[in-house]
Amino acid sequence: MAILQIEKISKQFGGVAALKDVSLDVEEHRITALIGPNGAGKTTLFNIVAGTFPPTAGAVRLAGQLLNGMQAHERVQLGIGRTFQNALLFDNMTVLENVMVGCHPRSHTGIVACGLRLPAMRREEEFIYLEAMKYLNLVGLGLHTDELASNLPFGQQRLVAIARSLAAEPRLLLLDEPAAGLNALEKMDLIDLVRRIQEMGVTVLLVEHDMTLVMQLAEWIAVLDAGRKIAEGTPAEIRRNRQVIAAYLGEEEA
Amino acid sequence: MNIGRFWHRAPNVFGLILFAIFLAITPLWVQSNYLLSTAIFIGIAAILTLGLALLMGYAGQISLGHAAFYAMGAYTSAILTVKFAYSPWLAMALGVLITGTLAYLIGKVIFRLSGHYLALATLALGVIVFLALGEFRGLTGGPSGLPGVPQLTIGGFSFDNDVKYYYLVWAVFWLLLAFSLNVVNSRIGRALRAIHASEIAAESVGVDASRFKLRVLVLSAVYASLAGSLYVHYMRFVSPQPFDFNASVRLVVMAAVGGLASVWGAPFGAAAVILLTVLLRDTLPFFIKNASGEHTVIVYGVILVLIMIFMPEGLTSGLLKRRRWPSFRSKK
Repeated sequence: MAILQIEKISKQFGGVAALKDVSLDVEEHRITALIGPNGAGKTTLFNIVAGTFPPTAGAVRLAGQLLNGMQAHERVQLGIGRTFQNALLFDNMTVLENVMVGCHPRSHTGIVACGLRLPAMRREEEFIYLEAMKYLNLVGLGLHTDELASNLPFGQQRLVAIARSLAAEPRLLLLDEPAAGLNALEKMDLIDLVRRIQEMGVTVLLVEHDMTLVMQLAEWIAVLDAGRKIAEGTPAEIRRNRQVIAAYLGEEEA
Repeated sequence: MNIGRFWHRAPNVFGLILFAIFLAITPLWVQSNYLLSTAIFIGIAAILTLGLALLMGYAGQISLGHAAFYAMGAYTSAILTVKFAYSPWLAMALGVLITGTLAYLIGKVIFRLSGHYLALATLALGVIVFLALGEFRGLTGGPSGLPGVPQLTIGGFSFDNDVKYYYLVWAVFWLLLAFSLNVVNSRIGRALRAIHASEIAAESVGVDASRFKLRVLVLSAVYASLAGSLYVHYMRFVSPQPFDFNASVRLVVMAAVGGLASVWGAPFGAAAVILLTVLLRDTLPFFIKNASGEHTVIVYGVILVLIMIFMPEGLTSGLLKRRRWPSFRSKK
């Protein structure tokens, strides 16, 4: 079953067409990768799925439910989590606090209960703390809780961002270039982490430039070039696809 | 319960206890009625500044018409007690309700837009409310005001002198400070700080930024309304003059001087600006003949500029960190 259905999405920025008629079904529990040369429209598609801005035409559905017109924070409540290329952590907060904010959609205490520190609020704080620690341990940062997020090396900041998204318990997690800037060892850890996320029942859709990593990790690959989807299939199929090879050779490896 | 997190909270708990002790013993050594009355005005201003600091520091929004919310509380209390013989406490609660509702309606519209539209909307509100107070003579008494506001009493106990009123005002401030600290150290405070750091990232983890800004606006309006009620029951009289545009600007200065990084800045910002005003009123005529309120506004401006350059995080954290040079000098 497709958990995410992207139907004939187009996006115009002024006169520039960033996406043209892109359709893609993301199967539940399968790791899907979205690849393509720079400027192909991958991040634009992520932003449309996450609700950062609306598409010019087309529809996005999560488990059959139409998402058009919903704001980003409403989509998080429905189960879409995302990370950004540049991590976008809350720099003024500690690592732990960043992930605690991630628990926001699963907590409900209002301003009066918070101001009076009512028992319900204390119980929920305890719950939020434990959940945040759970996901920080999952990404291997359980010992860095009290550091200011902006003081961590970039690779670890990305892990915090993943933990922050997971804390909302998404059904679908969008990872935007999670491996950029990581060394070989960190990439192996990342592959391991994404597989564990998959085992938790989360469907992962990732944008990634590192082909070795994509071929190792992804079970399904969709290729964008100049705003169009030019191919999709298993890693083996994509590797043999003439159009994909042309797009890549013509773009950067020539 | 994790010990590390207890200590994380502890500075606030100790701070609140020390602050309570300081407030409690102050009237014992401040014998002058003039100073005690000044301390009451500082307390009222601190309540206003506390709300504004939450709004500016945590929601990242500026209200340039906060005196309007202050006036709403003051006039609701005055009109209901003087003209309709309501109990002062009931009038105070209704003031909070009316002011909070007004702030809610304004925020509901404004926060659908991104950017600093709240500053414009509150600027307009401040002007409208100020003019209305002068014009609706039948209800407000017009420019000459409304005398005869009753004293606050609980049972047989009456807050009939400055010492009693001092304790009332500062007890209210202390409770609101504790409430604010709790809010700041909760999921709501974290969500607000997240919005301040990156609205896109906050939305991406499910935080509804406009809804949280709205809550803080309502909270700060409620604080302002309470301050207004406390003000009229102390003065026993109300007129439009303390709620003009200058008053709104002075509140922003107090919040900025106190510092927006922490709600602890509020009482210091309020005290600094009010003590400075008193000082200027007493000393400026020696330097400038016929010095008036407008001259003090110039001094405020200069001070605000100096603070923004040398202590951009406000007086409290600026002094605590003892930064010797502003950043543009240390880079050389």
